Amino acid sequence: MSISLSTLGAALRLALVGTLFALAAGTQVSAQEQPARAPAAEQATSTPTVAAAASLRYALDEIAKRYEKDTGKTVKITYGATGTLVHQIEAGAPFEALFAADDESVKMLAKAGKTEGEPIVFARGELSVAAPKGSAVAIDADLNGLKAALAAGKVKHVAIANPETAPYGRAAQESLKKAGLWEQVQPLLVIGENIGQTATFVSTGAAEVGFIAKSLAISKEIAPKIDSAVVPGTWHEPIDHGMAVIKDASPEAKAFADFVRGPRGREVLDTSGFSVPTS
Amino acid sequence: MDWTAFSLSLQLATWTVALLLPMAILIARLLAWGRFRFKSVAESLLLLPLVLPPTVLGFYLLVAFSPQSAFGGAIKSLFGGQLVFSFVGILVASLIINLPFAVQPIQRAFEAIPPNVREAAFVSGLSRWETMRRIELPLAWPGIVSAIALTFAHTLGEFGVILMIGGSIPGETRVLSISIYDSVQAFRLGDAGVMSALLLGFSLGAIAIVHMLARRQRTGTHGT
Repeated sequence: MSISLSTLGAALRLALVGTLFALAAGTQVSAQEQPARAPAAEQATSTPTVAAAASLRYALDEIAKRYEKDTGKTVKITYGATGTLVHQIEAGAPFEALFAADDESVKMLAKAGKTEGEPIVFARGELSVAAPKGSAVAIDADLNGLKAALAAGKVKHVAIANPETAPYGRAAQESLKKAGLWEQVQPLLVIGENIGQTATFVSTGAAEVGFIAKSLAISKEIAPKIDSAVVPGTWHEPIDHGMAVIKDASPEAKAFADFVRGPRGREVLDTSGFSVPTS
Repeated sequence: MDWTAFSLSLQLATWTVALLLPMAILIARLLAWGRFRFKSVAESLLLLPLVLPPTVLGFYLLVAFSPQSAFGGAIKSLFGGQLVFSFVGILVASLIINLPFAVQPIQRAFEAIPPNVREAAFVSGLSRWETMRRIELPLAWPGIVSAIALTFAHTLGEFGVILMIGGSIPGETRVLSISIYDSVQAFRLGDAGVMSALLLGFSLGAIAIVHMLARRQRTGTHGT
Protein backbone atom coordinates (compact mmCIF):
# COMPACT_ATOMS: atom_id res chain seq x y z
CA MET A 1 0.00 0.00 0.00
CA SER A 2 1.64 3.16 -1.11
CA ILE A 3 -1.23 5.56 -0.47
CA SER A 4 -0.75 7.26 2.85
CA LEU A 5 -3.72 7.94 5.09
CA SER A 6 -3.30 11.67 4.97
CA THR A 7 -3.30 11.58 1.17
CA LEU A 8 -6.48 9.52 1.29
CA GLY A 9 -8.06 12.03 3.68
CA ALA A 10 -7.02 14.93 1.49
CA ALA A 11 -8.35 13.17 -1.61
CA LEU A 12 -11.68 12.44 0.05
CA ARG A 13 -12.04 16.06 0.98
CA LEU A 14 -10.88 17.37 -2.38
CA ALA A 15 -13.50 15.24 -4.09
CA LEU A 16 -16.13 17.23 -2.28
CA VAL A 17 -15.07 20.76 -2.98
CA GLY A 18 -18.44 21.17 -4.65
CA THR A 19 -20.09 21.16 -1.29
CA LEU A 20 -18.70 24.60 -0.65
CA PHE A 21 -21.80 25.99 -2.36
CA ALA A 22 -22.96 27.34 0.96
CA LEU A 23 -20.10 29.85 0.94
CA ALA A 24 -22.34 32.10 -1.11
CA ALA A 25 -24.45 33.08 1.84
CA GLY A 26 -22.34 35.16 4.16
CA THR A 27 -24.97 36.96 6.16
CA GLN A 28 -24.39 37.44 9.84
CA VAL A 29 -27.30 36.98 12.15
CA SER A 30 -26.68 38.32 15.61
CA ALA A 31 -27.83 35.86 18.16
CA GLN A 32 -29.56 37.15 21.22
CA GLU A 33 -27.49 36.86 24.30
CA GLN A 34 -30.06 35.54 26.63
CA PRO A 35 -28.70 32.95 29.01
CA ALA A 36 -31.44 30.96 30.66
CA ARG A 37 -31.88 32.13 34.21
CA ALA A 38 -32.59 29.18 36.35
CA PRO A 39 -33.75 30.06 39.82
CA ALA A 40 -30.73 30.21 42.10
CA ALA A 41 -30.40 27.15 44.23
CA GLU A 42 -30.89 28.70 47.61
CA GLN A 43 -31.11 25.84 49.99
CA ALA A 44 -27.83 25.16 51.68
CA THR A 45 -27.06 21.49 51.77
CA SER A 46 -24.53 20.10 54.16
CA THR A 47 -22.35 18.93 51.25
CA PRO A 48 -21.51 21.94 49.10
CA THR A 49 -20.74 21.62 45.41
CA VAL A 50 -17.84 23.60 43.98
CA ALA A 51 -16.51 23.87 40.44
CA ALA A 52 -12.85 23.68 39.45
CA ALA A 53 -10.65 23.75 36.38
CA ALA A 54 -9.34 20.43 35.09
CA SER A 55 -5.72 21.37 35.87
CA LEU A 56 -6.58 21.49 39.58
CA ARG A 57 -8.01 17.98 39.68
CA TYR A 58 -5.37 16.07 41.62
CA ALA A 59 -4.49 18.94 43.95
CA LEU A 60 -8.07 19.72 44.92
CA ASP A 61 -8.98 16.06 45.34
CA GLU A 62 -6.11 15.79 47.80
CA ILE A 63 -7.15 18.98 49.60
CA ALA A 64 -10.72 17.70 49.84
CA LYS A 65 -9.41 14.48 51.36
CA ARG A 66 -7.49 16.42 54.02
CA TYR A 67 -10.49 18.67 54.60
CA GLU A 68 -12.59 15.62 55.32
CA LYS A 69 -9.93 14.20 57.63
CA ASP A 70 -9.56 17.48 59.54
CA THR A 71 -13.19 18.55 59.79
CA GLY A 72 -15.25 15.45 59.03
CA LYS A 73 -17.04 17.40 56.29
CA THR A 74 -17.19 16.50 52.63
CA VAL A 75 -17.37 18.58 49.48
CA LYS A 76 -18.41 17.70 45.94
CA ILE A 77 -16.10 18.97 43.19
CA THR A 78 -17.07 19.27 39.53
CA TYR A 79 -14.14 19.54 37.12
CA GLY A 80 -14.33 21.06 33.68
CA ALA A 81 -13.01 23.69 31.32
CA THR A 82 -13.12 27.08 33.05
CA GLY A 83 -15.13 28.65 30.21
CA THR A 84 -17.83 26.00 30.49
CA LEU A 85 -18.02 26.37 34.24
CA VAL A 86 -18.41 30.15 33.98
CA HIS A 87 -21.28 29.70 31.52
CA GLN A 88 -22.91 27.20 33.83
CA ILE A 89 -22.62 29.53 36.83
CA GLU A 90 -24.09 32.38 34.80
CA ALA A 91 -26.96 30.10 33.87
CA GLY A 92 -27.63 29.37 37.53
CA ALA A 93 -25.74 26.13 38.11
CA PRO A 94 -25.65 25.27 41.82
CA PHE A 95 -21.88 25.75 42.25
CA GLU A 96 -20.95 27.64 45.40
CA ALA A 97 -17.35 28.42 44.56
CA LEU A 98 -15.21 28.46 41.45
CA PHE A 99 -11.54 27.54 41.34
CA ALA A 100 -10.54 28.69 37.87
CA ALA A 101 -7.52 28.08 35.65
CA ASP A 102 -7.15 31.84 35.07
CA ASP A 103 -8.02 35.01 36.91
CA GLU A 104 -10.00 36.75 34.15
CA SER A 105 -13.02 34.49 34.35
CA VAL A 106 -13.50 34.94 38.09
CA LYS A 107 -13.09 38.68 37.62
CA MET A 108 -15.75 38.52 34.93
CA LEU A 109 -18.10 36.74 37.30
CA ALA A 110 -17.37 39.32 39.99
CA LYS A 111 -18.15 42.12 37.56
CA ALA A 112 -21.46 40.49 36.74
CA GLY A 113 -22.28 40.51 40.44
CA LYS A 114 -22.20 36.73 40.71
CA THR A 115 -19.60 36.47 43.42
CA GLU A 116 -19.36 37.26 47.07
CA GLY A 117 -16.43 39.57 47.73
CA GLU A 118 -13.45 40.07 45.44
CA PRO A 119 -11.86 37.12 43.66
CA ILE A 120 -8.28 36.29 44.64
CA VAL A 121 -5.34 34.50 43.05
CA PHE A 122 -4.74 31.37 45.11
CA ALA A 123 -2.20 29.48 43.01
CA ARG A 124 0.13 29.96 40.10
CA GLY A 125 0.51 27.13 37.62
CA GLU A 126 3.56 25.98 35.69
CA LEU A 127 3.73 24.66 32.16
CA SER A 128 5.39 21.35 31.36
CA VAL A 129 6.46 19.92 28.05
CA ALA A 130 5.69 16.21 28.02
CA ALA A 131 6.10 13.18 25.79
CA PRO A 132 4.84 9.63 26.19
CA LYS A 133 7.50 7.13 27.21
CA GLY A 134 9.30 5.86 24.13
CA SER A 135 8.43 8.95 22.09
CA ALA A 136 10.82 10.14 19.38
CA VAL A 137 10.95 13.50 21.14
CA ALA A 138 13.58 13.98 23.84
CA ILE A 139 12.27 16.17 26.62
CA ASP A 140 14.16 19.10 28.10
CA ALA A 141 13.07 22.41 29.59
CA ASP A 142 14.48 24.58 26.80
CA LEU A 143 12.73 22.56 24.07
CA ASN A 144 16.00 21.66 22.32
CA GLY A 145 14.86 18.04 22.03
CA LEU A 146 11.61 19.18 20.44
CA LYS A 147 13.52 21.43 18.05
CA ALA A 148 15.76 18.56 16.96
CA ALA A 149 12.85 16.14 16.53
CA LEU A 150 10.97 18.73 14.48
CA ALA A 151 14.02 19.26 12.27
CA ALA A 152 14.30 15.50 11.79
CA GLY A 153 10.61 15.34 10.82
CA LYS A 154 9.84 12.94 13.65
CA VAL A 155 6.93 14.91 15.10
CA LYS A 156 3.46 14.33 13.68
CA HIS A 157 1.36 15.89 16.42
CA VAL A 158 1.89 18.49 19.10
CA ALA A 159 -0.90 18.57 21.68
CA ILE A 160 -1.85 21.79 23.41
CA ALA A 161 -4.99 23.06 25.09
CA ASN A 162 -7.14 25.56 23.19
CA PRO A 163 -5.06 28.80 23.37
CA GLU A 164 -8.17 30.87 23.00
CA THR A 165 -9.91 29.48 26.05
CA ALA A 166 -7.43 27.60 28.22
CA PRO A 167 -4.64 29.42 30.09
CA TYR A 168 -2.22 26.51 29.68
CA GLY A 169 -2.95 26.58 25.95
CA ARG A 170 -2.13 30.28 25.82
CA ALA A 171 1.06 29.70 27.81
CA ALA A 172 2.04 26.89 25.42
CA GLN A 173 1.54 29.19 22.45
CA GLU A 174 3.62 31.93 24.06
CA SER A 175 6.41 29.51 24.97
CA LEU A 176 6.54 28.03 21.47
CA LYS A 177 6.73 31.53 20.02
CA LYS A 178 9.50 32.38 22.45
CA ALA A 179 11.41 29.28 21.39
CA GLY A 180 10.92 30.24 17.73
CA LEU A 181 9.02 27.03 17.01
CA TRP A 182 5.46 28.32 16.65
CA GLU A 183 5.44 28.60 12.85
CA GLN A 184 6.83 25.11 12.50
CA VAL A 185 4.50 23.58 15.03
CA GLN A 186 1.26 25.20 13.92
CA PRO A 187 0.32 22.65 11.23
CA LEU A 188 0.98 19.84 13.71
CA LEU A 189 -1.21 21.14 16.50
CA VAL A 190 -3.95 19.03 18.01
CA ILE A 191 -6.17 20.91 20.38
CA GLY A 192 -7.55 19.46 23.60
CA GLU A 193 -10.76 21.07 24.79
CA ASN A 194 -9.22 21.41 28.22
CA ILE A 195 -5.82 20.65 29.69
CA GLY A 196 -7.03 17.28 31.00
CA GLN A 197 -7.85 16.08 27.51
CA THR A 198 -4.52 17.40 26.24
CA ALA A 199 -2.79 15.33 28.89
CA THR A 200 -4.79 12.29 27.74
CA PHE A 201 -3.62 12.84 24.16
CA VAL A 202 -0.02 12.70 25.39
CA SER A 203 -0.30 9.93 27.98
CA THR A 204 -2.08 7.56 25.58
CA GLY A 205 0.66 8.13 23.02
CA ALA A 206 -1.76 9.57 20.46
CA ALA A 207 0.46 12.68 20.25
CA GLU A 208 4.27 12.43 20.39
CA VAL A 209 4.63 15.56 22.46
CA GLY A 210 2.43 18.10 24.22
CA PHE A 211 2.24 20.99 26.64
CA ILE A 212 0.34 20.31 29.83
CA ALA A 213 0.02 21.62 33.36
CA LYS A 214 2.86 20.59 35.66
CA SER A 215 0.19 19.63 38.19
CA LEU A 216 -0.98 16.91 35.78
CA ALA A 217 2.49 15.95 34.55
CA ILE A 218 3.69 15.08 38.07
CA SER A 219 0.46 13.42 39.23
CA LYS A 220 0.79 9.76 40.08
CA GLU A 221 -1.80 8.85 37.42
CA ILE A 222 0.09 10.43 34.52
CA ALA A 223 3.74 10.69 35.59
CA PRO A 224 4.59 6.99 35.03
CA LYS A 225 3.46 7.20 31.40
CA ILE A 226 5.40 10.27 30.32
CA ASP A 227 8.67 12.20 30.47
CA SER A 228 8.25 15.86 31.30
CA ALA A 229 10.13 19.05 32.09
CA VAL A 230 8.96 22.46 33.26
CA VAL A 231 9.22 25.18 30.62
CA PRO A 232 10.94 28.36 31.93
CA GLY A 233 8.34 30.54 33.61
CA THR A 234 9.74 33.64 31.91
CA TRP A 235 8.69 32.29 28.50
CA HIS A 236 5.01 32.91 29.11
CA GLU A 237 2.71 35.19 31.07
CA PRO A 238 2.01 33.87 34.57
CA ILE A 239 -0.76 31.27 34.79
CA ASP A 240 -2.70 32.70 37.70
CA HIS A 241 -5.49 30.59 39.12
CA GLY A 242 -8.26 32.76 40.55
CA MET A 243 -10.99 31.68 42.91
CA ALA A 244 -14.24 33.22 44.05
CA VAL A 245 -17.09 32.30 46.32
CA ILE A 246 -20.40 32.50 44.43
CA LYS A 247 -23.23 34.63 45.81
CA ASP A 248 -25.46 32.98 48.39
CA ALA A 249 -22.93 30.22 49.01
CA SER A 250 -23.44 28.13 52.12
CA PRO A 251 -21.14 28.55 55.14
CA GLU A 252 -19.82 25.06 54.38
CA ALA A 253 -18.68 26.15 50.93
CA LYS A 254 -16.98 29.22 52.38
CA ALA A 255 -15.25 27.09 54.97
CA PHE A 256 -13.84 24.87 52.21
CA ALA A 257 -12.68 27.92 50.21
CA ASP A 258 -10.87 29.19 53.33
CA PHE A 259 -9.33 25.78 53.86
CA VAL A 260 -7.91 25.78 50.32
CA ARG A 261 -6.32 29.17 50.99
CA GLY A 262 -5.13 28.18 54.44
CA PRO A 263 -1.87 26.47 55.40
CA ARG A 264 -3.15 22.93 54.81
CA GLY A 265 -4.35 23.77 51.31
CA ARG A 266 -1.18 25.69 50.46
CA GLU A 267 0.92 22.74 51.47
CA VAL A 268 -0.88 20.47 48.99
CA LEU A 269 -0.83 23.06 46.19
CA ASP A 270 2.89 23.53 46.76
CA THR A 271 3.67 19.83 46.35
CA SER A 272 1.22 19.40 43.47
CA GLY A 273 3.00 21.55 40.95
CA PHE A 274 1.74 25.01 41.85
CA SER A 275 3.44 27.94 43.46
CA VAL A 276 1.39 29.80 46.04
CA PRO A 277 1.35 33.61 46.33
CA THR A 278 2.52 34.69 49.77
CA SER A 279 0.13 37.58 50.32
CA MET B 1 -19.24 31.71 11.38
CA ASP B 2 -16.76 28.95 10.67
CA TRP B 3 -17.27 28.02 7.00
CA THR B 4 -14.33 25.62 6.99
CA ALA B 5 -16.04 23.66 9.74
CA PHE B 6 -19.36 23.74 7.91
CA SER B 7 -17.81 22.44 4.72
CA LEU B 8 -15.93 19.77 6.66
CA SER B 9 -19.15 18.62 8.33
CA LEU B 10 -20.89 18.37 4.95
CA GLN B 11 -17.98 16.36 3.57
CA LEU B 12 -17.99 14.03 6.55
CA ALA B 13 -21.75 13.52 6.25
CA THR B 14 -21.61 12.93 2.49
CA TRP B 15 -18.81 10.39 2.75
CA THR B 16 -20.50 8.62 5.62
CA VAL B 17 -23.68 8.25 3.56
CA ALA B 18 -21.81 7.24 0.41
CA LEU B 19 -19.75 4.53 2.11
CA LEU B 20 -22.39 3.31 4.51
CA LEU B 21 -25.34 3.01 2.13
CA PRO B 22 -24.19 0.02 0.02
CA MET B 23 -23.05 -1.74 3.18
CA ALA B 24 -26.34 -0.97 4.93
CA ILE B 25 -28.43 -2.25 2.02
CA LEU B 26 -26.60 -5.58 2.05
CA ILE B 27 -26.79 -5.94 5.81
CA ALA B 28 -30.46 -4.94 5.87
CA ARG B 29 -31.29 -7.46 3.15
CA LEU B 30 -29.51 -10.20 5.03
CA LEU B 31 -31.30 -9.35 8.27
CA ALA B 32 -34.70 -9.00 6.61
CA TRP B 33 -34.75 -12.30 4.71
CA GLY B 34 -31.69 -14.24 5.65
CA ARG B 35 -31.89 -17.13 8.08
CA PHE B 36 -28.70 -17.87 9.97
CA ARG B 37 -27.52 -18.73 13.44
CA PHE B 38 -26.98 -15.90 15.91
CA LYS B 39 -29.18 -13.59 13.84
CA SER B 40 -30.62 -11.93 16.93
CA VAL B 41 -27.11 -11.48 18.31
CA ALA B 42 -26.09 -9.78 15.08
CA GLU B 43 -29.14 -7.55 15.24
CA SER B 44 -28.43 -6.57 18.82
CA LEU B 45 -24.81 -5.78 18.05
CA LEU B 46 -25.95 -3.60 15.19
CA LEU B 47 -28.16 -1.60 17.54
CA LEU B 48 -25.35 -1.10 20.03
CA PRO B 49 -24.16 2.28 18.67
CA LEU B 50 -27.67 3.65 19.34
CA VAL B 51 -27.32 3.23 23.08
CA LEU B 52 -23.55 3.26 23.50
CA PRO B 53 -22.39 6.66 24.78
CA PRO B 54 -20.29 8.29 22.04
CA THR B 55 -17.60 8.98 24.63
CA VAL B 56 -17.25 5.24 25.23
CA LEU B 57 -16.65 4.61 21.56
CA GLY B 58 -14.40 7.68 21.49
CA PHE B 59 -12.33 6.31 24.34
CA TYR B 60 -11.89 2.90 22.70
CA LEU B 61 -11.00 4.48 19.38
CA LEU B 62 -8.51 6.89 20.98
CA VAL B 63 -6.70 4.00 22.60
CA ALA B 64 -6.95 1.75 19.51
CA PHE B 65 -5.92 4.46 17.04
CA SER B 66 -2.88 5.54 19.07
CA PRO B 67 0.29 4.43 17.26
CA GLN B 68 1.42 2.79 20.51
CA SER B 69 -1.40 0.24 20.36
CA ALA B 70 -1.25 -2.93 18.25
CA PHE B 71 -3.99 -1.74 15.87
CA GLY B 72 -2.69 1.80 15.54
CA GLY B 73 0.85 0.49 15.10
CA ALA B 74 -0.26 -1.87 12.32
CA ILE B 75 -2.08 0.98 10.55
CA LYS B 76 1.00 3.12 10.85
CA SER B 77 3.34 0.54 9.38
CA LEU B 78 0.84 -0.29 6.60
CA PHE B 79 -0.19 3.19 5.56
CA GLY B 80 2.46 5.40 7.13
CA GLY B 81 -0.13 7.52 8.88
CA GLN B 82 -2.36 7.43 11.88
CA LEU B 83 -6.11 7.51 12.30
CA VAL B 84 -6.24 9.55 15.46
CA PHE B 85 -6.53 13.32 14.77
CA SER B 86 -7.35 12.71 11.09
CA PHE B 87 -10.33 13.06 8.76
CA VAL B 88 -10.20 9.37 7.92
CA GLY B 89 -10.23 8.60 11.65
CA ILE B 90 -13.41 10.56 12.32
CA LEU B 91 -14.92 9.04 9.17
CA VAL B 92 -14.29 5.55 10.55
CA ALA B 93 -15.92 6.57 13.84
CA SER B 94 -18.82 8.07 11.95
CA LEU B 95 -19.41 4.86 9.98
CA ILE B 96 -19.60 2.83 13.17
CA ILE B 97 -21.88 5.28 14.99
CA ASN B 98 -24.29 5.56 12.06
CA LEU B 99 -24.68 1.87 11.33
CA PRO B 100 -28.09 1.50 13.04
CA PHE B 101 -29.37 4.75 11.54
CA ALA B 102 -28.61 3.44 8.07
CA VAL B 103 -29.60 -0.22 8.47
CA GLN B 104 -32.82 0.04 10.47
CA PRO B 105 -35.03 2.01 8.04
CA ILE B 106 -33.87 -0.07 5.09
CA GLN B 107 -34.42 -3.33 6.94
CA ARG B 108 -37.98 -2.30 7.86
CA ALA B 109 -38.66 -1.36 4.26
CA PHE B 110 -37.40 -4.73 2.98
CA GLU B 111 -39.47 -6.56 5.57
CA ALA B 112 -42.57 -4.72 4.39
CA ILE B 113 -42.26 -6.19 0.88
CA PRO B 114 -44.73 -9.11 0.61
CA PRO B 115 -42.93 -12.45 0.07
CA ASN B 116 -45.11 -13.32 -2.92
CA VAL B 117 -43.81 -10.30 -4.82
CA ARG B 118 -40.27 -11.64 -4.58
CA GLU B 119 -41.43 -15.17 -5.35
CA ALA B 120 -43.22 -13.91 -8.44
CA ALA B 121 -39.99 -12.26 -9.55
CA PHE B 122 -38.02 -15.48 -9.11
CA VAL B 123 -40.69 -17.50 -10.92
CA SER B 124 -40.58 -15.02 -13.79
CA GLY B 125 -36.94 -15.93 -14.18
CA LEU B 126 -35.34 -12.79 -12.81
CA SER B 127 -31.90 -13.34 -11.33
CA ARG B 128 -31.13 -12.39 -7.75
CA TRP B 129 -29.37 -9.25 -8.87
CA GLU B 130 -32.20 -8.26 -11.19
CA THR B 131 -34.79 -8.91 -8.48
CA MET B 132 -32.87 -6.63 -6.17
CA ARG B 133 -32.41 -3.93 -8.76
CA ARG B 134 -35.88 -3.96 -10.32
CA ILE B 135 -38.15 -5.13 -7.52
CA GLU B 136 -36.64 -4.84 -4.05
CA LEU B 137 -34.81 -1.53 -4.21
CA PRO B 138 -37.64 0.42 -5.89
CA LEU B 139 -40.11 -0.90 -3.32
CA ALA B 140 -37.76 -0.11 -0.45
CA TRP B 141 -36.77 3.35 -1.62
CA PRO B 142 -38.68 5.28 1.10
CA GLY B 143 -36.64 3.36 3.67
CA ILE B 144 -33.45 4.08 1.77
CA VAL B 145 -34.17 7.81 1.59
CA SER B 146 -34.98 7.79 5.31
CA ALA B 147 -31.66 6.10 5.98
CA ILE B 148 -29.82 8.72 3.93
CA ALA B 149 -31.56 11.62 5.67
CA LEU B 150 -31.04 10.19 9.15
CA THR B 151 -27.40 9.30 8.57
CA PHE B 152 -26.62 12.65 7.01
CA ALA B 153 -28.26 14.70 9.74
CA HIS B 154 -26.89 12.52 12.50
CA THR B 155 -23.35 12.86 11.17
CA LEU B 156 -23.67 16.64 10.98
CA GLY B 157 -24.53 16.65 14.67
CA GLU B 158 -21.88 14.20 15.79
CA PHE B 159 -19.92 15.54 18.73
CA GLY B 160 -18.77 13.18 21.46
CA VAL B 161 -16.59 10.83 19.43
CA ILE B 162 -15.06 13.62 17.39
CA LEU B 163 -14.27 15.59 20.53
CA MET B 164 -12.47 12.55 21.92
CA ILE B 165 -10.38 11.58 18.88
CA GLY B 166 -10.36 14.70 16.68
CA GLY B 167 -8.10 17.20 18.38
CA SER B 168 -10.03 20.13 16.83
CA ILE B 169 -7.77 20.66 13.81
CA PRO B 170 -9.17 23.29 11.42
CA GLY B 171 -10.00 21.77 8.03
CA GLU B 172 -9.28 18.25 9.25
CA THR B 173 -11.31 17.40 12.34
CA ARG B 174 -12.90 20.64 13.57
CA VAL B 175 -16.43 19.97 12.40
CA LEU B 176 -19.37 22.30 12.94
CA SER B 177 -20.46 20.87 16.28
CA ILE B 178 -16.93 21.18 17.68
CA SER B 179 -16.65 24.71 16.32
CA ILE B 180 -19.90 25.62 18.09
CA TYR B 181 -18.50 24.24 21.31
CA ASP B 182 -15.25 26.18 20.90
CA SER B 183 -17.20 29.39 20.18
CA VAL B 184 -19.27 29.04 23.34
CA GLN B 185 -16.11 28.38 25.34
CA ALA B 186 -14.57 31.54 23.92
CA PHE B 187 -17.76 33.53 24.65
CA ARG B 188 -18.44 34.12 20.94
CA LEU B 189 -22.15 33.53 21.37
CA GLY B 190 -23.06 35.22 18.08
CA ASP B 191 -21.03 32.71 16.05
CA ALA B 192 -22.39 29.82 18.07
CA GLY B 193 -25.93 31.08 17.46
CA VAL B 194 -25.56 31.22 13.68
CA MET B 195 -23.95 27.79 13.44
CA SER B 196 -26.48 26.23 15.82
CA ALA B 197 -29.36 27.64 13.77
CA LEU B 198 -27.84 26.08 10.68
CA LEU B 199 -27.65 22.64 12.30
CA LEU B 200 -31.18 23.05 13.62
CA GLY B 201 -32.37 23.71 10.08
CA PHE B 202 -30.65 20.60 8.73
CA SER B 203 -32.05 18.44 11.51
CA LEU B 204 -35.60 19.71 10.97
CA GLY B 205 -35.23 19.07 7.25
CA ALA B 206 -34.11 15.49 7.85
CA ILE B 207 -36.99 14.79 10.21
CA ALA B 208 -39.45 16.30 7.74
CA ILE B 209 -38.19 14.00 4.98
CA VAL B 210 -38.35 10.89 7.17
CA HIS B 211 -41.80 11.78 8.44
CA MET B 212 -43.18 12.48 5.00
CA LEU B 213 -41.91 9.20 3.63
CA ALA B 214 -43.17 7.22 6.60
CA ARG B 215 -46.65 8.63 6.12
CA ARG B 216 -46.64 7.95 2.43
CA GLN B 217 -45.61 4.39 3.10
CA ARG B 218 -48.41 3.91 5.62
CA THR B 219 -51.17 5.32 3.43
CA GLY B 220 -49.78 3.17 0.64
CA THR B 221 -48.86 4.50 -2.75
CA HIS B 222 -48.44 1.09 -4.33
CA GLY B 223 -50.05 0.48 -7.68
CA THR B 224 -49.28 3.81 -9.24
